[in-house]
Amino acid sequence: MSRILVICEKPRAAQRIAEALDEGGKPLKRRMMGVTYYIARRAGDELVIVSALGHLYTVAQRGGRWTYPIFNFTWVPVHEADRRAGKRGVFIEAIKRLSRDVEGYVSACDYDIEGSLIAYNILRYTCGESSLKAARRMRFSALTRRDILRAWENMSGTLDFPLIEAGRARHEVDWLFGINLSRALTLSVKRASGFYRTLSIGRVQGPTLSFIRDREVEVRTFVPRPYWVIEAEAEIGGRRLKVEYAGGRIEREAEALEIERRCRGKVGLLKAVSKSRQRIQPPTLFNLGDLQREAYRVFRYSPSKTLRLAESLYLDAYISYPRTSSQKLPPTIDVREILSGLRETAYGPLAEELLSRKTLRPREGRMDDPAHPAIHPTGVAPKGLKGAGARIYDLICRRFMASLGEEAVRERVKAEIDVEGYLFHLKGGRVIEAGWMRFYRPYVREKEVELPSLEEGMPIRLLKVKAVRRFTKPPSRYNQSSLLKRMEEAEIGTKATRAEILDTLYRRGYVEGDPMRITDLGFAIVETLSHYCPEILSVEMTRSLERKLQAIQLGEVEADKVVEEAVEALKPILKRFKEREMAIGMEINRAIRGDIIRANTLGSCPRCGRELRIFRGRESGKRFAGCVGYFDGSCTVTYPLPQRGRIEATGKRCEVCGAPIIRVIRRGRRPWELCIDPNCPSKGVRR
Amino acid sequence: MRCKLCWRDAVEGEDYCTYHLEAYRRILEAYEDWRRAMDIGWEEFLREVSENPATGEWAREVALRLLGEFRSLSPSGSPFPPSPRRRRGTS
Repeated sequence: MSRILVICEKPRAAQRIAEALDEGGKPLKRRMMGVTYYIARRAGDELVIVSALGHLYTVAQRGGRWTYPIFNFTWVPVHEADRRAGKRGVFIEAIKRLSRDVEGYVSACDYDIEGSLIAYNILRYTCGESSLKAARRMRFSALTRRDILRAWENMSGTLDFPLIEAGRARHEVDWLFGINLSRALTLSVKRASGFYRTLSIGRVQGPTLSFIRDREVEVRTFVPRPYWVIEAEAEIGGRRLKVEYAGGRIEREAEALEIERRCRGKVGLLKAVSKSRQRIQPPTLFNLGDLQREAYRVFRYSPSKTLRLAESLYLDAYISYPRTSSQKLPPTIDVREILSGLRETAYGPLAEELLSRKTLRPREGRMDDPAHPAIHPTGVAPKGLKGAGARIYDLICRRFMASLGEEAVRERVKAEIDVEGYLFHLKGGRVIEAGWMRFYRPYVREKEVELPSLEEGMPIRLLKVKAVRRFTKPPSRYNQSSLLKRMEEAEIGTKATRAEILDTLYRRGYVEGDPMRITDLGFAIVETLSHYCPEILSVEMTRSLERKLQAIQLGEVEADKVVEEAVEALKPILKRFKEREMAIGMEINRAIRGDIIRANTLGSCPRCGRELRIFRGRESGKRFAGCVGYFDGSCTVTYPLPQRGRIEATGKRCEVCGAPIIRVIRRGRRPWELCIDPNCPSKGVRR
Repeated sequence: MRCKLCWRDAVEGEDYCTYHLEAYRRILEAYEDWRRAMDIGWEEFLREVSENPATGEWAREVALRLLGEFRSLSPSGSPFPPSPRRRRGTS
């Protein structure tokens, strides 16, 4: 009998794997130093199944001070680099003790570069170098019993070293860029102003922030142009219907007014009626980016929230591994078996209908991922799923079934109406064969306009004809979904890290709101970097590094060589940065001060018109609003403020007293707006 | 030298920073399009642009300045005129 240590990525995964591998389905649950592990029996072997807590080791500086450039690094336990991660130290100790007297090791972490690296680091630094030679790798895309057993039977004889090397290099390169550039920014501000403010930038964060900046400049410098449209309505069969001027946008006002003058109150002739059928293909299967975008469209969930929910569904074995780029389902995945599982759920009738078909082939997209298939339900019936997780599960299930559906057919009707030589269109459309759409409701965008019966030559009276001035619109600001797409198109970041990068931009105060608006600090960071080290903002540099990192995975280039190249690329950038540190710090500091002043400005003083800002009393420490005129003795207006919660300016003035309206935001409560003046008569009225 | 409309440095020999200068250039370009489209003078064009909700905020600031209506030029300054209707909460 052999004793084998099975390393999993997360506690919930360890439990599932233990239950699947134990021949009786009931592994023994044990605890060591507060860490849960399982003992399972399989083919005469004793399996010790233990989990990590994500990464237990990380890259850190090797000695030295908090400065830059730093190129000396080493891998250390996460809890040594980050004091808040103390719990991970216990996992390391528990795994170390459990690995005594073990004859074999199995990596059962998620099958991707992160999972491979997690297990590799644990084996190397916790279990000892010799464990690497005795380790094998399980590969699965879902945590169902069937998938886990298949992965156990088909385990590879060694660890997946190309993935591990790619993961190691990615962490090291990201650390080198992140730590050096972030320290350079932070220290430049400290040197210029004496104040400490955490600033960060990285090789993906830089170009991403640059995209937002470029779009913001487009929006803020936009000047609209006028154009005219003819708004018209016709009476047909007792109904009032909108008709469209066939000429579309009209660039000159005189021309638009002429059309209006000549067509108003006139009767036109229905010249032609054409019907066409449009076949609408089913949607493709989800990869992570598609799922994040769709969840944003229908539920307004941020990409990071969607990823978190999808990972939870994966750990419960309800869906396949979500961190995938693939829009394909390999033939080895039994679609009928999945649908049979879904028969036991609320999707029963829909699943039955699909199962009654002879052939079932999902519509696949172009993108592929050698490690994992597209996201799909596993067929395991969910228990007690509710809230946001249930919504994401519903979206994934319906998308999966819709991809197996038939084409939908839409009938389009277009009628041409001639009025005084001017052509107008009457358009309608309806779905005549719902096909896949039935499976994807309520997430389908359907627009139905049914027209009355139309005959060529029939007279049609225009009830309303009006030339209306419109204006061109600025490009839309990025939202989290469109920015994610832009990052994918630019090939920067990975499917697993993009959502996290967006969160960091918010956390650092570089962007705010949704759609995303870049703050003055964000502007200053991009401007300064584009001035002194534009490479950091360059998509090309990041993309070229991404490609090299992928080449490691394919065994085409060595990890150490890529890390060395990253160091060489950083050296001149950091040298230039150091030389101009003071100037850079001053520029950024100016933006930080501007941001602070703006955040503290609540509006204008009702007495003198100067700014009302938030101040704190020297003795009481309490905050209040006061006019800046106090400093030169010209104005003494002050107002008390709520002491808890965040206060924001609204830009509005009270209609009763003219004082600014502020917004108070408290955790767990709905934000509310109030007049800053406690004696405002509007408050008396409300009371 | 500072930009006349914000805290950034002005482009050498100009009143504005890069962004407000870009907005200014766009206003000039747009004026040509507006004139081709309709009968409109410079002042009315500026008023239309400054009141249009689709106008970008830097373009609006430049338009208002060109109209001579932009009161405060500092980044934290309020573009609204003072309205001393009530004086309450005076300490």
